[in-house]
Amino acid sequence: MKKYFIKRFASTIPVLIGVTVLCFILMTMSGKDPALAAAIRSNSAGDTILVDSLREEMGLDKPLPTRYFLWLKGLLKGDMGKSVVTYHSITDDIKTFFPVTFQLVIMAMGWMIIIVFSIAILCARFHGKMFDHIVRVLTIGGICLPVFWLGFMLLLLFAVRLSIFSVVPKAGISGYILPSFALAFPSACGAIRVMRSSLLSEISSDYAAYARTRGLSEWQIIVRHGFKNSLPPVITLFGQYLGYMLAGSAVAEKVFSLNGVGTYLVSCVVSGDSSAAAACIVIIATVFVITNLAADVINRLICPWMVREIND
Amino acid sequence: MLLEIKELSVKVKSSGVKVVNGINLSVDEGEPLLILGQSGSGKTMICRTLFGLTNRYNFDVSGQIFFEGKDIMSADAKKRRKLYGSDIALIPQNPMTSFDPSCKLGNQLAETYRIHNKSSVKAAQNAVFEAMHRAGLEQCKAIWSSYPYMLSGGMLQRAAVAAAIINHPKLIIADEPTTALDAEHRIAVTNLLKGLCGSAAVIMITHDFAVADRFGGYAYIMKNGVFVEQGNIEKIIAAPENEYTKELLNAALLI
Repeated sequence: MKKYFIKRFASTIPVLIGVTVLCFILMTMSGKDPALAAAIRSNSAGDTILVDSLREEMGLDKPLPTRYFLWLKGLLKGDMGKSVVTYHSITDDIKTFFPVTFQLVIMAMGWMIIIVFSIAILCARFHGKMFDHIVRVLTIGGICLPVFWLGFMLLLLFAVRLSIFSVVPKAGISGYILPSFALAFPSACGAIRVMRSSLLSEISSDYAAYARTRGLSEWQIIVRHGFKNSLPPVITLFGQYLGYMLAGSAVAEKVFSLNGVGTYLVSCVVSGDSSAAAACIVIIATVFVITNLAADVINRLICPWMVREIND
Repeated sequence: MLLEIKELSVKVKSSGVKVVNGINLSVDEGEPLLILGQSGSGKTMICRTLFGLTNRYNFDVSGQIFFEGKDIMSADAKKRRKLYGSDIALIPQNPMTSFDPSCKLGNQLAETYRIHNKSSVKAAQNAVFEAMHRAGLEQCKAIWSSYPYMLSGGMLQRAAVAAAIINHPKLIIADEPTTALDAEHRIAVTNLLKGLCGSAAVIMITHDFAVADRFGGYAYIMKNGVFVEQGNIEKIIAAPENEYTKELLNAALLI
């Protein structure tokens, strides 16, 4: 088991290096000159001397490999340069915006866990019954729902009609309830279907039949045995969804007027602030890689026999 | 009469094939009983029907199964669950896939005890250790904290025997308990089950005449869902009357 964890952890290092290389290449190929973008924002686009000095200051006159290593060194030190959008240090900007997105995504994961586990268990218990059929239809529809539309509908219902929540985000957890639900719901619908299938497969297995012959009820079989064994595909999916939600948080943030890293990333891309955009992408990609690693580790801890089966 | 099966039929809904066709069978308390037949003859289906494992979407079941005079097929699920694992126990065909792979073996055996007896964890652990000893398992503490994948097929089969006897059942149904085992373990498990007769009635379902001969008792020979011959196993082996029984015996000798 320990060997597996070390091996799995080591395999993430080349992935992270690849992410930084890709981000850097995309940043340089974006076609937007960060020095010129900075000059435009300070209304000095015509001042070629200023643009050149900015280019020199940003290290854009150096060869690409040198620029990559300088950028990587800065990234590791936490010095990612200055944003041409906010004029602040990119590190400070990320420190300001990231907690908003982080809270949003963590709360969305909370929603997902509550929705997926409870509904999938009920579907497995009442397989083939009306509840199961209704959930199957609703989840197909739910997967197709765009986050922005769902967000507007939730605002319209809970903020405008019922006045339970505020249209302008409030401080504290209550400000994240609607945006996190809007972000989580389409993903949760997909995960419900996966977990339902996984649970059904588990409760049709030999050990479930044997448990029935030992006097266990259907609920006991599902909760005590089927649930744990059905988790691996769902945890893997959750790991991926967490990354997707982090990367796609911009839509929910925009709809609910939250200033998170997603909104910051979009404004950086629009303004040609490729350094800040690349820094955001590297951070999102790192979180994505870490959550996937965590999902694999959790799976191995829950299902220790998988290590032996795969012989890793 | 402990168990009485009357005119039991199981039909596959999609094909209309009767995998069990109007069989009658009875077992007295503490007696050994054998059901012999080739794979696909319907032996396991009797066992599955008895435990309510035949899916009603796929199978049509008719007939009656009486346990201590009460029809268990018409009993509600809660009443049947009280019988399963306590008065009627199963030893499954494949022990490697019969235990939950993510749950420690000790917990699964203790669960079988605690479902039917309101007891503390400690009392359940003692009952598990006692059942393990009776099933011939040593190093009980190590087995208690092992996951099923950590144990051999022979040990798991004995663990299944322990799970079957933990609640001192009146009837044990052993569904091909020796199929997944090597010759040495096959003899050991057969002897173990033979030793349980007396304290419980044991129905041994098998296709192996050597195992049946060692186990002894009254035997039913099954082909295509019906019993084609019945009698004492020693007599059947010595002088089979039915052609199918003769074929089976010849095949067993050839192997």
